[in-house]
Amino acid sequence: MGFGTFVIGICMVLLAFLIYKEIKRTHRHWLTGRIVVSIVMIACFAFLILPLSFETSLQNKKGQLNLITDGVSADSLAKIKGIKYYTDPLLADQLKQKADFIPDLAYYLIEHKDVQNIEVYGYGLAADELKKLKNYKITFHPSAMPYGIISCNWTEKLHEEETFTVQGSFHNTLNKAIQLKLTGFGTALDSVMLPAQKLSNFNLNHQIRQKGKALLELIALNGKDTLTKEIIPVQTITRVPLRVFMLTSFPSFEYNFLKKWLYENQYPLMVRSRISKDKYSVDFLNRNSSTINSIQAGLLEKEDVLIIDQQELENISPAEKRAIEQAVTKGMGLIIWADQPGANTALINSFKLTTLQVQDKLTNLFVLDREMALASLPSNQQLYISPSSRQQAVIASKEQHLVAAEELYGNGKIVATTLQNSYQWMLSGQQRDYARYWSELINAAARKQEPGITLQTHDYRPVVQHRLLFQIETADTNVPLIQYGEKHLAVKQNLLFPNSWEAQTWPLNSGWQTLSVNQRDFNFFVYGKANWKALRQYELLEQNLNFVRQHQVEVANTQETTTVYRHEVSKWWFFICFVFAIGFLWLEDRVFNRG
Amino acid sequence: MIELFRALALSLGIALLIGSLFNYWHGEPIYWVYYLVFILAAIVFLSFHPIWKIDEKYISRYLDNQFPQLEDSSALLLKEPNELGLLEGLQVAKIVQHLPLQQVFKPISSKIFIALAWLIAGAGVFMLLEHVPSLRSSSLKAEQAPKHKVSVEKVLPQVASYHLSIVPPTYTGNAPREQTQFTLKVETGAKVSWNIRTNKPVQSFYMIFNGEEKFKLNPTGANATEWSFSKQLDKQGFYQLELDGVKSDLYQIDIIPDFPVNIKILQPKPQTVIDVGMPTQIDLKALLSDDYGITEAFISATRASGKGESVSFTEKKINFNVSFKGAKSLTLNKHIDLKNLGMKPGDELYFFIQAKDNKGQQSRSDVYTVSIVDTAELMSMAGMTSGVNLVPEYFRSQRQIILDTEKLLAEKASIAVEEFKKRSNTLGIDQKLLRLKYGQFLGEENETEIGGDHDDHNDNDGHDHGKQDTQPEKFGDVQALMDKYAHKHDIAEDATFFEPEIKAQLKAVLNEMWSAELKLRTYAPEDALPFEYKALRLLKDLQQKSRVYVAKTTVKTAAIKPEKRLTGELKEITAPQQNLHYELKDHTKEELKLLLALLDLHKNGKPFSANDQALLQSGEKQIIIATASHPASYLPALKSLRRLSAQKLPALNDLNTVSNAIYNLIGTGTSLPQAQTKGLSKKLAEHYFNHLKGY
Repeated sequence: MGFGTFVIGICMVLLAFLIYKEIKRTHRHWLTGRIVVSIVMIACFAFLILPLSFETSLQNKKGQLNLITDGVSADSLAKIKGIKYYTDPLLADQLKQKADFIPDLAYYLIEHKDVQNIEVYGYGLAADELKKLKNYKITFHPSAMPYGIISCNWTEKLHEEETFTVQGSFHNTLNKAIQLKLTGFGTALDSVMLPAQKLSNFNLNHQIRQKGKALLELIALNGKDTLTKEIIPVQTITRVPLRVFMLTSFPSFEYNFLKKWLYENQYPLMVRSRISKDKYSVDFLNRNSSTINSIQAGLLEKEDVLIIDQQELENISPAEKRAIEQAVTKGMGLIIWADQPGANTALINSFKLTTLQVQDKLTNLFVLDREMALASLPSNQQLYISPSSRQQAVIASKEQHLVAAEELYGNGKIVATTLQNSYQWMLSGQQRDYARYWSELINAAARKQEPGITLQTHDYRPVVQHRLLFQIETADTNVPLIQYGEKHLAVKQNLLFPNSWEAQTWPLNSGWQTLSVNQRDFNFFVYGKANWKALRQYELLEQNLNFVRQHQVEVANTQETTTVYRHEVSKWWFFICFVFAIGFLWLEDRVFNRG
Repeated sequence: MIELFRALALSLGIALLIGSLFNYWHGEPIYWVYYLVFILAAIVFLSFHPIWKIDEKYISRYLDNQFPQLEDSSALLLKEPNELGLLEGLQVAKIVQHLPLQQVFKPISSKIFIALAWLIAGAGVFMLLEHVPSLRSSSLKAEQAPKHKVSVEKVLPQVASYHLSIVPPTYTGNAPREQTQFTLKVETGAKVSWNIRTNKPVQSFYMIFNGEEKFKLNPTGANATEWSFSKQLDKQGFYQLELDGVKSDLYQIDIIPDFPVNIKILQPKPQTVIDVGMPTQIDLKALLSDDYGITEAFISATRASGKGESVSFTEKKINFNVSFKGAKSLTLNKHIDLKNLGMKPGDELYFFIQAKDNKGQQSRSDVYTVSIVDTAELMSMAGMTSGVNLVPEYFRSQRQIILDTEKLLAEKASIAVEEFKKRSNTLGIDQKLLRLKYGQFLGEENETEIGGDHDDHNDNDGHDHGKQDTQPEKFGDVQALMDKYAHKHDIAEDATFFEPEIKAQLKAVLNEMWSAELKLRTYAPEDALPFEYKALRLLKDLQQKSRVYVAKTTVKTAAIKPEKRLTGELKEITAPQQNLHYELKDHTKEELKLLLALLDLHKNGKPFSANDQALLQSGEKQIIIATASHPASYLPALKSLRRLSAQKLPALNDLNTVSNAIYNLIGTGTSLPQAQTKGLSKKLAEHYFNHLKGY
């Protein structure tokens, strides 16, 4: 204080002296101007020595913490009253000067015991942060639904030639319809137009053509401008050849065509057709021979599918029937060519066959599961399966008459089909429909493969540099050896299921990664942080809304407090003013003297 | 660096400003003032900002302060990587992705801006006061670079100049042309000559077509710089040059094919039937077109006469009486009199147009037939005397009407006009009666109660017509017969037992009968005759349709004894057994599928390994085959694939082009049965499941 008063005093004296000199000047040119400039000069001089500061204040409710998260627009940021904080370091650029950074929310809350009420703005806090806020009252002010794909789903692991489907919803905020394109392999695979200003669902398809891993892209286009671009990883599962066993009472066309088709597609095949009493014609295709004159349980153990016609099923001995029943109970698939209603045999009598007087040709069969139409057949079909609550339709005509249906039987499945002339597809050159039909039937029935080891990532979409949790199940209870990159990962055994394990890591790179469990490789894809942003934002939004809904904490009404901030004005401004003022005084004098 | 620059700029600016002002005021330039002020300013600045103290630690502290995303860990980056602990390593990997940081200098950029402003102000004042010429000189007009035309083709550097002369085959009539472009688009069979001059002598010069045919070139000049080669091109594909072992880019060969003459017959219809009374002639009208010119066209007509086993064929060539002169498109008309060809009733004529273009390619139209109805055949009773016939008398009646009409016409000269008219009218009445009888089949209104509607329908029996009729059935009574099957109490037309097709034909018969009746009633029996014939022909067709033919059998088999079935001795019979292994010889599709996935994996710029190269080569074979047949669609892919094999780092563009080509080569596949996988079965769960089944 003493120094300040001293400086002001000196300055006053100096100012008085200068004004005196100005007034006493002979020509008195620009007198008022010069006096004003002198005052400014002296003031600047004083502020150069004594710092000038001003204060601002912020109204804040007591016990309230304003947390800004991703997704808050500049407009809404300005409307938020009180001191603002943020915890996400990535927001630093956007929120610098506007909000304060809290490196760790938990620490901050321990230090500031008075905080009871947390106002969250934007898309919300991550799940692990939310977990720490269970005892606080959280008011969530969600941002608007993000633009782009806000939900999306597909199967990552597919069989070869399988149709890949990606479904989801897109939030289009533009005033224009946009195109959503599924691209890959340098070409567009499928596309759809999405209407303007609407949340609309999409469904895109593509038949898998590669063998191995591939990255497809989902691109939203507005004319030629790319709006969003998302990655879709897909990988194919190695084909495991199914072992098929066929039994017929006589070698029908259907039987011969199916045999040839399976043989040429390299399926291990064992077929037997009856010639006479206890005499059979036997083929072993793509496999080693064995004795199959009588069917025993041991023989069927390794087979995946047994295809048999109804007559043969009735012809075989009771012991053989029992063997088949047993095998189906243990998981083998059974496909029956049914051709006569009112069968007594145990495996087929649950399928109620009816004869319908349908004169027209079989034109509109379709695969129910995939809503896939099959080409028409040149002959008519009269035998159908009546719907039953225990059975599921596989193939039906458009009039909902079932041609093929499946039924659970123990661990296995029984499929019955009344179609006896599917080979006519082959004859009329519609191999694709024939393949679809039989693939569908065999897939429905076939024994399911034991994977040996299953691996799942805890997150549906693992993100780089986030904790990635693997859930591993092995066949036995030995500790699995898990290798990720060059490191071995430690595993944690599940307390209840001893063959279930957990391992965790933090993937450092995005892209395809491999984890090997007991020397078996599993591929998974790690997304970059920029991938699926809108979707993650939307998920976060939902998560926060849910959290707030579930954790309603009541807090007493809070009072307002005022925080005062002190800002200092930079001395450079005064220095510049000072130099200009001095310069003016000197220059004015010189110019006048010359003039 | 930035700090030093800032110090220099600030000091220099201040020095220039103050120095110039001082000199201006002083009058004479004293240059040491600049240096003095500069040094003073620099010293003052450096005492505030000791830039020699800036080191790595200072920077990492500064960065940590400014960028929260570094999580106070930037100092870890200064450590040697092998000194880092596991956690430190993870943290480094986490923050490394934020590097390089954006806008590191944003906070100090304003300070630099101030310093620069000083510098500019100082320099400005200095220049103003020293009367330095204005900035005009520095504003040089940027000369527009001449538009450089990007050449589409890449030519080997050894090639100094080249030109290609193309001589199209004579049939095209196109003039020979020259081009200085390796990509070719030529007519089939065109002869192409390449004249290439190299800028230095070349030891060996080859031309490789479709990646397999290799031709060695001989120099035309003395010093092995001028080369020429010519070849007749017949198929699409691509080629490249090889000079001293250096291969050029691939150049496309597109072939403009010459299609054979396109023939379109506008008239008559593919099948024409000429009825009695109609003129036995046809007017043929055809449209012919070709790419380059038609040289010849004629009608090839085959007459088939006779029936059964004595059918004889006579072929005849009928020329159009026009000269073609290589016209590109022509409309041809030909009037053919069938009688001149020797056609009799019952004969058939098959004809087609054959044409030849100026390349000598022949083409022909579909075969058209014309048949003249044989009245004698219609009149024969052959079809009626055997087999079951429900309505024989009606057919006979129509036949009778025709016979009577012909008889009337023959006697026309010898009888009086009155008599003629009367008989004609009587025939008309007969025709009407016949028509009405047929009309009943269609449920037409009956005018004269012929046949009559049956009203013995018992209301009580409802729809049950299985009830026995007590009345004895009259033999040959069609009405009674029909009543057994027909049900007439709703729409009469639907009550008949005819199929819609037969009904339509019956209607046609009735139409013809109508016309015949009209002519007979107007005393023009000669005009009625064609209609009568047509009616008879249609009736005959109907009759054939409804007939089922069963051949007589002479063999009688013994009755089967069910108890003896399958009781034969089968010991000697061995069961046939077959063991086969299917060998898939063509693995190309599998390889292409693997290659497709491989290309996708390398989109991140990873170079191809030796194994990958092998796969690329097998893919190249497939693309070469595809390129040879479709150069326009696959040549870019082949070029890209070669670039991929040659270059170390794959370019995304090439990968996309090749992927696209391979994707198309694979095509859509058929689905095959594949086993689904299930979850791991735990013993406990299985146990539970097995117990569950009991309930």
